Amino acid sequence: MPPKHNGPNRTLDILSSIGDQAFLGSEVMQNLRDHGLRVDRIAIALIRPDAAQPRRVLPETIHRAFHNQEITPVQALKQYIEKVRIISRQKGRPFESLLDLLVVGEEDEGSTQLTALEQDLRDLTNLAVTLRQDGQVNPLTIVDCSQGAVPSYIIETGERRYWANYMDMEFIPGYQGDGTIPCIILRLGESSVFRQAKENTSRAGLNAIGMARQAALLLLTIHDIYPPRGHVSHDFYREALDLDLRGKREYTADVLAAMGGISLVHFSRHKKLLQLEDEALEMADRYNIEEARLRYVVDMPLEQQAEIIRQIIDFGLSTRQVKDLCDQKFDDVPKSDKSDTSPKTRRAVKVFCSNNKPSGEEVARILLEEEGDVHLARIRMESILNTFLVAQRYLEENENITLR
Amino acid sequence: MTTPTVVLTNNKGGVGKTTTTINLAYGLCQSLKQAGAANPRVLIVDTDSQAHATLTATGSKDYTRHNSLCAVLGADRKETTEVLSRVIVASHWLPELHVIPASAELEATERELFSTPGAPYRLADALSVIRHHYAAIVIDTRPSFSLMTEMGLLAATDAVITLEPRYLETVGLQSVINKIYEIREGWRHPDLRLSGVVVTKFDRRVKGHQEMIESLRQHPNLGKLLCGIIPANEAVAYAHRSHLSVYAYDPTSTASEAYAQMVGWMLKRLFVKEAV
Ligand SMILES: Nc1ncnc2c1ncn2[C@@H]1O[C@H](COP(=O)(O)OP(=O)(O)O)[C@@H](O)[C@H]1O
Ligand SMILES: [Mg+2]
Repeated sequence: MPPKHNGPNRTLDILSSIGDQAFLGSEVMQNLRDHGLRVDRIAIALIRPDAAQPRRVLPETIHRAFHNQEITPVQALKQYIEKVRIISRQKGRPFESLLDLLVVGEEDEGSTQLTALEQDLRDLTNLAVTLRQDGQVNPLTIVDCSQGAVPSYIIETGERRYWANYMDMEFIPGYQGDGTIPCIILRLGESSVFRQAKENTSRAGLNAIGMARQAALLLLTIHDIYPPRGHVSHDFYREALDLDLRGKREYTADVLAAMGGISLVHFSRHKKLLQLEDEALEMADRYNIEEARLRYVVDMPLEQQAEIIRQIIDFGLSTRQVKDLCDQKFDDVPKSDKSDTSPKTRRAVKVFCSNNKPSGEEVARILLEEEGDVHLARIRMESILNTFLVAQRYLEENENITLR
Repeated sequence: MTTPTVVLTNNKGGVGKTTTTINLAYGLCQSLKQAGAANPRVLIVDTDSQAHATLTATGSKDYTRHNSLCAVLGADRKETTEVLSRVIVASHWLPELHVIPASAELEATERELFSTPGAPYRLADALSVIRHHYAAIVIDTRPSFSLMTEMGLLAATDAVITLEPRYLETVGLQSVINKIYEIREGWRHPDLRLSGVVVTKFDRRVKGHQEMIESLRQHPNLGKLLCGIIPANEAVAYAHRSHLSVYAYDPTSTASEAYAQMVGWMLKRLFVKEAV
C-alpha cells in the first residue's frame, strides 16, 4: 500500500508543537537551550585541548607531536615526565614516582632552584594530587565539536585541569574515578577567544610569550584568520606581526580588556616578542622570562637571540644587564674597551663561551683536517694553547678590571 | 540532572517494543531539535541480537562483534570511551539520532559474560562515560528476562512497558512490573522508575481492547502511566519494512499521530520535573 500524503497532517503539528514553550514551559525550554548553565560529566577521552591555546602546558616538542595526533594524551604525559626525569637525574635529584617529585621539591625548597621544567611538572602533579584529595574539579569549559556520530569536545578553559586529571588517572596509583570530568558545555558557535583570553589573563596570568600568543590570537581572530587544524606553529601567531588594532578600532577596547586591561603600548610590545626566533621563543616561554628583559633581545640579530636567552637563564641577568649585554653585542665592541679587537677573534672566543661549545675531539679532528697530518696538527695545537695561556696570565694580572 | 534513559520492556515478543523504541527515539530527537535544544542528540541502544532496531534505523544489520554492542560490553574500562566512539553510528534518518548496533553475536557475548563478576552492570558502566553526550537514550530489549535485559534495566532511569491489548496481557503485565521492582530493590537501583505503559496494536472495533484500556485507565497506579495508545495500523508494518520511521513513511496515519502524542507525553515526563 502506498503511503497516503493527503489530508491534514496532525502528526507534524503535534511533533512541532512539542517543541513549543506552551507545551514544555518556559523554564524547561530555557534549560534545554542553555546547555551552558549545566555541569555535565564528560569522558575525558572525548575532550582535546585547544591547539591554539596561548598558555602551553606541555613542552613545545611534545605539544607539537600531541596536536599532530602522533601521540596520545597518556603518551604525551609519559614523554613529559621522562624528559623531566632526565633533567632531575642530571641535577642529582632523581625521582622514581611522580609523588617523589613532590617531596624532592619540598626538601630542597630554598636551597636548590628547580629548573623550570621540573617546577612545572611539580605544579601539575600538585594539582593532580589536589584533585584526588578534593574528589572534584572546577568544571572545564568545553566546546561541543562533535560531528555526526563521532563525539568530540575542545577545551576553551581548563587545560591544566585536563592534564592533571590524566595524571591522576594514569600516573598516580589508586584512581577510583570513572574517566569522566565535570564540564560546562558550549555549542560550537558559543565559543569565544575573548572569554578564553580573559580567563587566561586573570588569576595566574600568562607569561610574556603566552601574552604574545594571546595578543596575536585576538588580533588574528578579529581579522578573521583562524588557526589551522592540528599543531599551531609559531609562524601562525607571527602572521599577527603584520596586523594591528588601528584598522579595527571597534575591537580595541574589547581586545585590551581581554588581555587583562593592558595598554596599547604593552599590547604591541608583547606582540613584538613573536619576532624572536623559534629556539629563543621556546626558551623564553619555558623559563617565563619577562617582556622587560625580552624587549632587548628581540632587536638582536636572529642568530644571536637564543644565545642571549641562554645567558639570561644561566646567569639570571637583570633587565639592566640584558640591556647592556645587547647594546654591547649590537655594537660588537665592548663600550669601555679601547684596545682593538677583531670581530674574527671575538667570534672564535665566543664559540668557546657558548653552551654548545666544541668538544676537544671535534677541535682535534678539525685541526687534523686543516693541517693534513698529526704532526703539524700538534704543532698548531701547541700554539693555540700558548695563546690561551697568555690570555689566562693577562686575566690574572688584571684582576681589577671591570667593563660593566 | 542525569540523562534520561528509557528502556522498553516486556518479556513477550511481537508486542511493539522495537517499533516503539525507534519511533520514540526519533520523535524525541526531532522535538528536541525543534525546541532549539543545545544538545538534541538521542542514542538508541539495541540489545536484541535480532537487530531489528539496528536494521530499521541504520539500514544495515551487517554488524559484527567488533563494531556492535558486543565490543562495548567486552571492552576494558579504560578503552570504553574509545570503543564507544568507534561503535556508535548515526541513523540514516537524523544526524543527531545515533545507534549502538546489535549483532547476532550478542548472545555469545552474553554467555561469555555470565561468569564475569559485575556483568549485569556492564551496559550501565559503559553508558556512564557517554551518557552526558546525549539528551536522551532509548534502549530496546529482547523478549526475555535474560542477562542482557537485566543490563538494559540496570542502565535505565525510566522503564516503559509495551503491551498488546489482549485479554491475558494484563496477567503478563504484573510479571513485568515485578521484574522492574526486583531490579529496583533487589539490585539496589532506586533510580529506575516505572515511567509509562504503552498499548500497541489497539483496535477500537474489538470490544476486549476497549475494556482493557478502560480497566488500565481505572487502575489506581497504572492509570496515570498510560502514555500511549497506538492503533493497529498497516503503516507501522510497511514503515518497518522500508526502514523508515512511521512519521516519515506516512505522517498522516493514525499510528504516526499516536506515536507523536506519546513522544510529547514522554518528553514532559523526562524533562519537566514536576510533570505526571
Ligand atoms: N501499531 C502497530 N500496528 C501494526 N503492526 C504493528 C504495530 N506495532 C508493531 N507492529 C508490527 O508487529 C511486529 C512486532 O513488532 P516489534 O516492534 O518488532 O515487536 P517486539 O520488538 O516487541 O518484538 C512487527 O512486524 C511490527 O511491524
Ligand atoms: Mg524487538
